[in-house]
Amino acid sequence: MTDFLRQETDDGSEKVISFQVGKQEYCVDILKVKEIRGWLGATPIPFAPDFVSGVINLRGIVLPVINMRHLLGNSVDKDGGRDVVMVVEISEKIFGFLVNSVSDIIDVKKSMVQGVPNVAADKDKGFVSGLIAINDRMVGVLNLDVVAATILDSVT
Amino acid sequence: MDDFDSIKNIFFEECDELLSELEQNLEIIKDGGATEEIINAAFRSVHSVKGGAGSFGMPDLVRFAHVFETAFDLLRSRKIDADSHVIKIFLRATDVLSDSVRAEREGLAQPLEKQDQSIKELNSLDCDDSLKKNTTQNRNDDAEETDEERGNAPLFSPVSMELSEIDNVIGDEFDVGFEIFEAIEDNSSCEESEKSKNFSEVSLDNKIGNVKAEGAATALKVNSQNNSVTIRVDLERIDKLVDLVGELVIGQATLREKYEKNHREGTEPVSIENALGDIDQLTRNIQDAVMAVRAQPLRTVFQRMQRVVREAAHATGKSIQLTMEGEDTEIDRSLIERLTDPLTHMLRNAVDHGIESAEDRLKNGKSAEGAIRLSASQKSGRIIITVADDGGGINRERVRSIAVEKGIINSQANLSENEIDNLIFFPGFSTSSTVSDLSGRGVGMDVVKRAILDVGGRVAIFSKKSVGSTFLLSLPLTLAVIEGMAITSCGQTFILPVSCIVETMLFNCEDVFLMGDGIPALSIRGVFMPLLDIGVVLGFSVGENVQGREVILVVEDDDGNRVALLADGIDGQMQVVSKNVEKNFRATRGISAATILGNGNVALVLDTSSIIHIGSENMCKLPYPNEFANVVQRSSEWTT
Repeated sequence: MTDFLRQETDDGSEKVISFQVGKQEYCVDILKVKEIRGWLGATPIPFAPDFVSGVINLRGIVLPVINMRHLLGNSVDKDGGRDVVMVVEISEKIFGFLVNSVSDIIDVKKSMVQGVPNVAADKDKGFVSGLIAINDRMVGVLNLDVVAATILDSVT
Repeated sequence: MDDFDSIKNIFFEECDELLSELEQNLEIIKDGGATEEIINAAFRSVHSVKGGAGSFGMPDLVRFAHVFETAFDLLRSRKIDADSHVIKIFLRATDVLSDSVRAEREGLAQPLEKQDQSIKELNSLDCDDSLKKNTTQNRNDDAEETDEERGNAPLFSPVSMELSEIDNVIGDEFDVGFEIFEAIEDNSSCEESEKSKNFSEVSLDNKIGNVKAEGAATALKVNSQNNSVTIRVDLERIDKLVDLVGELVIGQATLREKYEKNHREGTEPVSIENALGDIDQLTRNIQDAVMAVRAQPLRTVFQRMQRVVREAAHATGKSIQLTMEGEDTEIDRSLIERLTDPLTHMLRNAVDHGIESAEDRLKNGKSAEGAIRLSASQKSGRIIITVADDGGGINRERVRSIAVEKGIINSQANLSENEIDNLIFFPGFSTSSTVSDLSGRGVGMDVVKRAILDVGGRVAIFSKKSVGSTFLLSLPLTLAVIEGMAITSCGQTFILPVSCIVETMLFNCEDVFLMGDGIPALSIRGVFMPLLDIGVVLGFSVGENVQGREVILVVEDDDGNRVALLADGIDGQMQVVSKNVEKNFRATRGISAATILGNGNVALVLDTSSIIHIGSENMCKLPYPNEFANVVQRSSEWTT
């Protein structure tokens, strides 16, 4: 289970930020998101996997930007919305997630999270640890630990 | 951490400095440089440790420091000569003193046995019996009693003498911090005038305290488990920074005034060129000043190595001279701490495995005394530290057979000399058949390599039979400012450290020749060197043509290999602050760091050695541009 589900508040709900990647919607614990910035392009890094767009300057920090469309394997083409970079902190490392748009802040109760159907699990490499159904939308819960491990371990 | 603990911590930090200074001075005396000034400085170090230890209630430390100081007094008053015997005893006493300080710091038991032995040695120097009664073999005596024996001074510091000494050391910040402990103790018995003198020093001490606070604020967290790391910074450096910032404020005001004047109607516009130029200059100076705060000379690490070698030589019964060069090379504080362990391992190894026994050395026509040289320098934007011994070199047959025995390599493996040498970095490799105290636990060299790789460094060995071995550490200058050349390739800006650029020139396709399987080589004044297209090496371009490629940069790596790099253009030279890419990402081949350009974009700093490496690996696989095909004809004509 993802982090945010463990750190439940008194009423058992957690705030998450949902965002659009391709046609899919995903969410992460709001506390992990440090800021959201407009996308101005990045400096490409040699020998990096294709989901690494490059590095950008975040007030003097060299921040790797991960193109979530490539990482999550959704439609690679841009699908509406302007690109934004979500600055996310995962176990003391900071990454930028390039997504189509940030859509919503949602209160999520643990009971709302459903398991991922087996059919999808293989393709997503465990990036999605659960699904939430809200107003006819399906929001995938991102497992940030798996995402971070993939970014850091991917062999050049 | 309460106030007392933090003061105590400052004391321990100062002890480290004093002890390393003491050791350094003793080394100078050993080499025949025994001027009165040096001896006095060394004496003061011991004295200050004693004074501080007294105020913090560390009777064992005081007892030992007191005997040491008394012995030092003999040297100071020229009752004994600074011959090698005396210095040896003093150096040993220094080691014991620093052990004792460490024991206090870590709350361990005092090394009483060592202390007693050293006290015996120190006392043996004293021919004058009347002084002997100063020393005490009885550790039950508490500190006051010891001093009462000596005289009437409270807490080990006769006021009359201390104040005159304080006078001497005013302005010498190392001492002031310490003497102040005694000064405070003695205040009550002082006359008014002397009291005020003390207070002036209290304020100076406060100042130093502030400097420390600032240092603490700038210090990076090296280890998350540690308490905050503090650094001691020369007050001068902080003052310089403060001055520069003051000037910057003025410069900024000037600029604003001119700008506003230009926007007021009816006035003649004035040029802001000069004001901008001033600010450029100031910014650069401030950058230097800030970096200087973090940078520390390698001396602190190197000094410690004297003791390592001394002890290792003693344990192995070898006579070894350690010479050091480039101790003033400055390196980022965070690296200094991480260098101590690897260097200790390397030097112990050099003593234990590198230098042969005296008999073997004489047999080989060498002097009985082994020599180890520890040196540091800055090269190609990196810090190079070498540990060179004049021992027997690596015994490659033994290394090989042990590697086979331990299953590290296959007995059929065909290895080059260099590959064999590098086997010693494998985990669990140890050539020593007996496990000695020093090294030979088989953890040494692979730990060294790991530690150096962890800080983004590299290790290389050069060994020649019966001539000696040289270990070369190449370390990055994290956070350091690099003098860089901004170049463009494939629409991207890269920074190439100026230090590794040999020359630059315009690219002329006719200078290209194809070697063997179509590997392009560039002829520069008749000398051929591999030609690498930066964009192709880094995988940003497939390089089917050389359109837009206009400049050649001849670069050299740490080992002196030269290649010609092909780029689109040169934007000019600039100072860049190197930023760590690994911190949030991972180490990337071909680049050593990143930096932020004036326009806010990130530019990658190229790592020459790595680029040459990638280039030589892939040389045959890289497609060569069509333009070069034209020269094949010409080159074959040329060779026939």
